[in-house]
Amino acid sequence: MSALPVPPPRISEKPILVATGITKKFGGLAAVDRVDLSILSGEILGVLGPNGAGKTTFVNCMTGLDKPTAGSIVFDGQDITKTPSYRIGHLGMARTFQVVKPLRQLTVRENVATGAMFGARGRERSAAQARAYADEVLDRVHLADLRDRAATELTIPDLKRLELAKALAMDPRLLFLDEVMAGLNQSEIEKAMELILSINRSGVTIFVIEHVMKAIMGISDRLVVLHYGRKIAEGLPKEIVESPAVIEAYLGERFAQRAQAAGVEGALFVPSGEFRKAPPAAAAQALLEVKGLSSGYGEVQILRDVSLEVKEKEIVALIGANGAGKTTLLWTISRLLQPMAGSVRFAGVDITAARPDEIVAAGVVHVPQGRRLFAGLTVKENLMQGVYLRRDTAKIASDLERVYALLPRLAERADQLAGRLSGGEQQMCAIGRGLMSRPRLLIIDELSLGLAPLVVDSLLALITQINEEGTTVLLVEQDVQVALEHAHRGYVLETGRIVQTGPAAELLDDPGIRQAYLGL
Amino acid sequence: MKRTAMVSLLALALALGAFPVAAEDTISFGAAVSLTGKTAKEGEYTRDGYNFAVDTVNAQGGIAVAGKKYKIAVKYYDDESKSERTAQLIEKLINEDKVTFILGPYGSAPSGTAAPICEKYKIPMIEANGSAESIFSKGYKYTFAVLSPAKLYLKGVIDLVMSRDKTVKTVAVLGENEPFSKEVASGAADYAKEKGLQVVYQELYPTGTQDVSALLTRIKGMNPDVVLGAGHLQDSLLIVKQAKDLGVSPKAMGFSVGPSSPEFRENLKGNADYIFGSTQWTEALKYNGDDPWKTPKGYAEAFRAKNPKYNVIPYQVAESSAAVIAFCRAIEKAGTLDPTKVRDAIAALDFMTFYGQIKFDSRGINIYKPMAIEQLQPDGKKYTVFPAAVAEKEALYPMPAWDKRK
Amino acid sequence: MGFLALLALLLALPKLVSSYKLLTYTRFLILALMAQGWNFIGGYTGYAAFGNVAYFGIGAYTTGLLMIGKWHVPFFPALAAGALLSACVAILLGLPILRLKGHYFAIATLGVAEALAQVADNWDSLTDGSTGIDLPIKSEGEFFYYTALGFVILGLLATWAFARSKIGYGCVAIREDQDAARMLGINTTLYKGIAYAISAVFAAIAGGITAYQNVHVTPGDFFKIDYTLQMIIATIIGGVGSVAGPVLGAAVYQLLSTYIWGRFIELHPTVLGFIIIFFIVFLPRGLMTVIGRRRKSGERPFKASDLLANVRAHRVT
Repeated sequence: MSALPVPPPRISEKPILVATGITKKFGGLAAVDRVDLSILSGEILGVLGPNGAGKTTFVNCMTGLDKPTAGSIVFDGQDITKTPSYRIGHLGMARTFQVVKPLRQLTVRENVATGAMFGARGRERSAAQARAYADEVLDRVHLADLRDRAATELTIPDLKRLELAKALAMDPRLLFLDEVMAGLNQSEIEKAMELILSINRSGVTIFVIEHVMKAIMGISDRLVVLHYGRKIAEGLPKEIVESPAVIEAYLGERFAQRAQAAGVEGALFVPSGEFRKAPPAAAAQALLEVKGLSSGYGEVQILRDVSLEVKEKEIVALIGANGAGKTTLLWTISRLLQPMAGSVRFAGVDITAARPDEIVAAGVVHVPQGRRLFAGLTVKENLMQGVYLRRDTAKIASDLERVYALLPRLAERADQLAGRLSGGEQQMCAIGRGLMSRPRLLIIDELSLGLAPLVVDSLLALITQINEEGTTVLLVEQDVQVALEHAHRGYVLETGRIVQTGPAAELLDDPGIRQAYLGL
Repeated sequence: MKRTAMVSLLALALALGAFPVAAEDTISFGAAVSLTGKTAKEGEYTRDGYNFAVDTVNAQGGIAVAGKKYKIAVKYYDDESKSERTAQLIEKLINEDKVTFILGPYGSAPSGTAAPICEKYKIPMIEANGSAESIFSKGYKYTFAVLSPAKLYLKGVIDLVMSRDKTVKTVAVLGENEPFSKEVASGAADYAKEKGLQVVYQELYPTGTQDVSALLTRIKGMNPDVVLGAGHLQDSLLIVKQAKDLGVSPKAMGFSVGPSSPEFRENLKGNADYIFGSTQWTEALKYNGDDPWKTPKGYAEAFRAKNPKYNVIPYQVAESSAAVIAFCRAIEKAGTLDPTKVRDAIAALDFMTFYGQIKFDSRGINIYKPMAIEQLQPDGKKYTVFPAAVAEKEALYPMPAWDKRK
Repeated sequence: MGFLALLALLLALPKLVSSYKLLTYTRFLILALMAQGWNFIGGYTGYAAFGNVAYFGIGAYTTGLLMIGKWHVPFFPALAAGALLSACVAILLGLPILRLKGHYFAIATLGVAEALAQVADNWDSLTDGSTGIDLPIKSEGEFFYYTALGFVILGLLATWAFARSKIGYGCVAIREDQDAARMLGINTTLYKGIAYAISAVFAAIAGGITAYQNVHVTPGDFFKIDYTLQMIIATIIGGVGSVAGPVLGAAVYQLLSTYIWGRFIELHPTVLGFIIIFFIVFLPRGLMTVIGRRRKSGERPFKASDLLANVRAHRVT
């Protein structure tokens, strides 16, 4: 273990948690393999690793949700290897879940109050006191405005924040954060980083799993990298991003470059002209035309008079803050939501009144946010769901091979149930399923959500490739830089309206966008 | 004959339609019988038996009470063959429909449910289809049954077999786990033991069983001389079908309920042959009673004339009619409609009917009337074969093995 | 205000209606009591218990057997004994079966009900088997009505207090996500056991009152799956996981069932079935959501279809 050269005074040399030889096997497969790890009291320990590396399983072992096959865990001098999971919270540990687990039918406040009631100091509080304490915590995580909303009504980023609030309300001394920033845009990430730092500075040790390099480089005192269940590196952030093994297994060259820059200067933006694309000729045929679209849920109108055009063989990026209405727009296009006004045309045909299945049959395939896999089917069966409407059966086998080649993890896991995959692997499977349909227009909501940088890189390459082969793409992506680098044109959505549009390269250089979405 | 029957039927219908009976001249009876569900068929017999007696009495002018003639009206509800419904329905009949007297439901289980309710409101009930003695062991004063008690049902089959075959040694008894059948089964087993037979198998199966093959397999292994079944029509059909499939071939098979119903023959066709059934009543019996029909034959002819769909008359019909007749006699004797006085008059009844002796012991059950045994024979008909005094034909014995039949 | 008027009406009811009508109202209260109990395990804790009739039966038999035979215990102590025994049985049986998830739990509870019915059916020396037992006759309909009414009001208060208590929060967290609940520090086994035992107590009280009123108690009548279905349906109609929903649902169910029963003798199960489907499809959160738009304290609404989703083996995360 490479210690901090000069540890800040908040970090004690005494570990708060010592895990020795942790192994967790599912069937014959070791998800976590003989990992030794110490978390120093007061530090922020960042954890990196490819999707399926065993990061979440490791946290599950630490918190008693999975019983380790071998190894021991000592928390604050006490052996907790066999402690039931519900006692973990009483001892002073709390965690968030990567795949969020809100108490769905309860309000935000009730969710947090539950944590306050049963956490480390829960016994001191009555139910009413816990509700009052919940309000304090909500203020801290900027969720106070939503306190009376049911958890079901929250967007993914708010649910991530709710996960954090529930955990905080348990008054932990050690907090495990599992990808709380996935799906946040750059400026939101800045805020989340501040929040995590302030929690840490108030005396909470933090173990944080994150793929957002900017964040993890910015807040971690030390980094650990897991790969195939093994610890392959541990050290200072700067050492880690320069480690050839980590670059090969996880980061990829380009992101390593960006991450190094972030680690050094706290900046993310690296001008990379090579990725910029010229928009196709203006004469190109419009494949998707959205005119004056309004839409929403029940009585709540989200989209107002949105018009947008995607031309044949184009990649169009749709960017905007969380809650701007990007997902709502995609849902309305694929008719998972009914428009209130306006029209949608695809390949010259009005599809405003078509059924979702007819839209899929016409060649529009939507990879939704939040994966939506068939958990009880295997990976291969999920992928084959994508060919349901295809007629060219001869090419299906070769397409499957291609998806496996592009996403080798899926090949390895082909016969596993999708419900057993790690979060990132599920995302890969969802995208793979979309590709299997050979769409004319591929709509992807949150491409990089929860994916390791290396995988994001290969998916972006893949999208560029299928685009060159003739597939048109409409992309929603929180990493605005990545999105605009790979798109021909972009649209900016704010509070349900299109406020800006233009060639991607111009948007990337626009000072307003750089300030709003890139934090520059 | 047929013509006169039709004419009298028409006349009766016209009479009933033309002169609707005024409410104040009517005695209202209530009955909750199973018209749907497991015992729907038996419930239908019960209702038809009640209705036939009521129509006959009304056609003759009704019941004379203190010099005034009253017609009878019966309010029916369907208990859906669920005895927990019975409690609700009897409460409804007594409290909402304000009936004066209760005619019993079909079956011992609902009769057991109805009895305490009648007791609660001191409303007399004469029932014709619940012969479990457990109903009468609770000390209730307002419940009476015209039929012979359950434990006597299969006694006749044992007597008959023993009179024909001195080598008979072993008996198997299987029964439905419900109050009536339980008593039939234990009564039969006790009697067999008393007669020196060996009861090699005695088991109860739950109500509503759709498969008794496991029980029959056990029985087959023991190869008993006699197999006795205590259940209801559906159970008896099931046992015969599965006994044939499994090749269970005793020298005699007898059932408490089932063989006397026309449905038994209709369902089993030739497989019904040689099977014995116990019966509370057959038209071959030789009673001479003090009632509108006098003899079993007289009753049967009058009933068939009015209900042409009945070729064979199941005993449930007759016993249900007998309950109505017992009520009429008691009300006339009491000379009042006061339920308590009528109850005392019922308790004191002792008279002969087409159905047999009607006389209740201190518990309210009729132990003074014997049972008879019928057999379905290969000529497609059903004959009363026991006791010898009333036998129409000699019983065919032993029953040939299933595979030895043509 | 409206509530007080309703209460006054309910208290005066025996003076206003015929004794048969009163019996119908008493049946509604009994059903309400069962539904209230089921709401603890099915509504607040999200466990699709299909065997609560087992505790109805235990309550009926315990009350009955104590009142007759050599003991001649008065009604209320006998009823309390039934409730206590039910709670104990629920905890003993709950420890293994509450570990099961989804449809395995549902099937296990069905099995428990069936097994207890068989015990009552075959333990002749104690229960007199299928013949059944007869309790002392009590003919005052008002007694049963007021007893049931009292327990239903107690049940409302208990539900309200439960929902606002830590135990209530713990149970709802279990319903929403068992892993999340554990991570929040909730002893899931303990809380599920408590909710299950409470539901058993309610069912046992309902069973005891019904036994005393009906007099004749048999395994066939008192271990009937129909009771379980009725309490679930009543809760779904009223609002699963709401304070007053089970009572409201029981009222509507009783009304519908009496009316439909009168109109469609042969078809009434079918008609009732369609009405239940209507509620699940169009009013999945029950009537309570129609009556009160604002979220009130103690309300933890739960969609009937989510309950069914909890019954599925694999939950899509």
